[in-house]
Amino acid sequence: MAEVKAVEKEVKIEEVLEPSLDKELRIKRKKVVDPGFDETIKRLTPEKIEKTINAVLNLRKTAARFLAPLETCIHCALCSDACQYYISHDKDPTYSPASKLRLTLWEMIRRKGKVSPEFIKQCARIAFTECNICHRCSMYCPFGLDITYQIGMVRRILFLLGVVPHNILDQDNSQSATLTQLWISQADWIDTIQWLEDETRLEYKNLRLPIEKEGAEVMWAPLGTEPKIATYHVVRTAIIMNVAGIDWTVPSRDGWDSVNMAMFIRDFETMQRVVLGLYENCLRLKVKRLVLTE
Amino acid sequence: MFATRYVAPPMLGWKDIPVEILHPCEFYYELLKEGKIKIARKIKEPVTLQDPCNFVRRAGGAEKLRYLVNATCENFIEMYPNREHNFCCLAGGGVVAFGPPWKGVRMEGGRIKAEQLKETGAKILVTPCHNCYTGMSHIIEHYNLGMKAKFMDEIITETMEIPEELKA
Repeated sequence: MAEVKAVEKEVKIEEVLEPSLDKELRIKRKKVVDPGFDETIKRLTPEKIEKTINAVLNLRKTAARFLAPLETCIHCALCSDACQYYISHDKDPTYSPASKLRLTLWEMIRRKGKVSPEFIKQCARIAFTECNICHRCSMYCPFGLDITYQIGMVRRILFLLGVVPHNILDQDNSQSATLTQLWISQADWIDTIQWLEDETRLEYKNLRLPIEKEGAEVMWAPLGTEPKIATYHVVRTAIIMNVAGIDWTVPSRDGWDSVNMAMFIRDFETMQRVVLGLYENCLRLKVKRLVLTE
Repeated sequence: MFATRYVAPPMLGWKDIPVEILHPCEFYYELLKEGKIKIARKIKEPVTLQDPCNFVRRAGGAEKLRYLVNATCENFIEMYPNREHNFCCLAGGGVVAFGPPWKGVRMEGGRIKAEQLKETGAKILVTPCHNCYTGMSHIIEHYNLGMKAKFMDEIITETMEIPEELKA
């Protein structure tokens, strides 16, 4: 492999992340300040944590999907070599997918949800910032254990406890309130589409960016970032659609933003509302296909 | 795409999705195959391709991406590992949306990605996903890899033929 060097030389200060934890649960990491972790754990009580974990795991009824991986994993480390964080950190075993589970979900199961707020904070660090939910480890597991799903459920517990990176929680709140990622109002959205059409027509004659065209073949649903900060994506899509002669449209009502930040933090309720908004627009406009942006 | 096409519909209690859903690259693939858009000039610089986890590992679109890149670029170098074995861009899973506090952690984790990119010697990196685009641009900048990330729609609009009636 080619050798690479980072441009800025950062001072590496690593220390035990949560010294109050039991010895076998301590991991060394750089300190990062995020109010989504540091402030939210102050509101947690042992009762609330126990109740939330047991509600999600439901160890009496639907335990098999959580217990089976715990009892099946033989720590063969095939998932370790699949993880980019593990490889990039010189094969530090605390970055291995199996140990990410051992340090989070499996410990919650062993203790039947009786864990401390500090432990929850460390779980948040591991499940949110050291895993991309990329499914690479699940793909290599010889037993077919879906490690990624398990990490996702840790995220679900953390979301219900409110311990979520501040930045993405804001975007999730925005989706919950406006169905868009970045607090974009309906008026802003329509206005953006209209001025983009106007401007692009200076370079491309008769180009159309049709809003609310009932019965069109294709409805296009961009990401919230596109009309907000990366308008060139809207322009490029419009050019491609016009060159190809596609009968297309964008909806005017909320439910045009196809990004799903709620899915990433496992806010399943908001996630479904966002998706439902997209489908409702498709059915209302009677389009045949929905083209997304990623 | 992942939530809309795969995760949410069963949760909503639906047997199937009510309308057909396409990733833009599936859509561009169709347009190129059917000849609705034509490529006028191919990109000459060496390019490589990032496989987005959602579209490639979960939706199996690897070969469609390769068709698009080969149709628009002359010199396509595969990174290794590739297709469904490719590493994540380190921005997926919402990690890029955790914002500036976590960028350092993300960049450290991206060392293997940077090595993988440098090995190809490519000048342009084609990324078909927003997360990948942002994540990879940061990695390229952080490790000074001397290449440029370009979005798939940018590659297509740069190379395709614009019909006379659209030219202003």
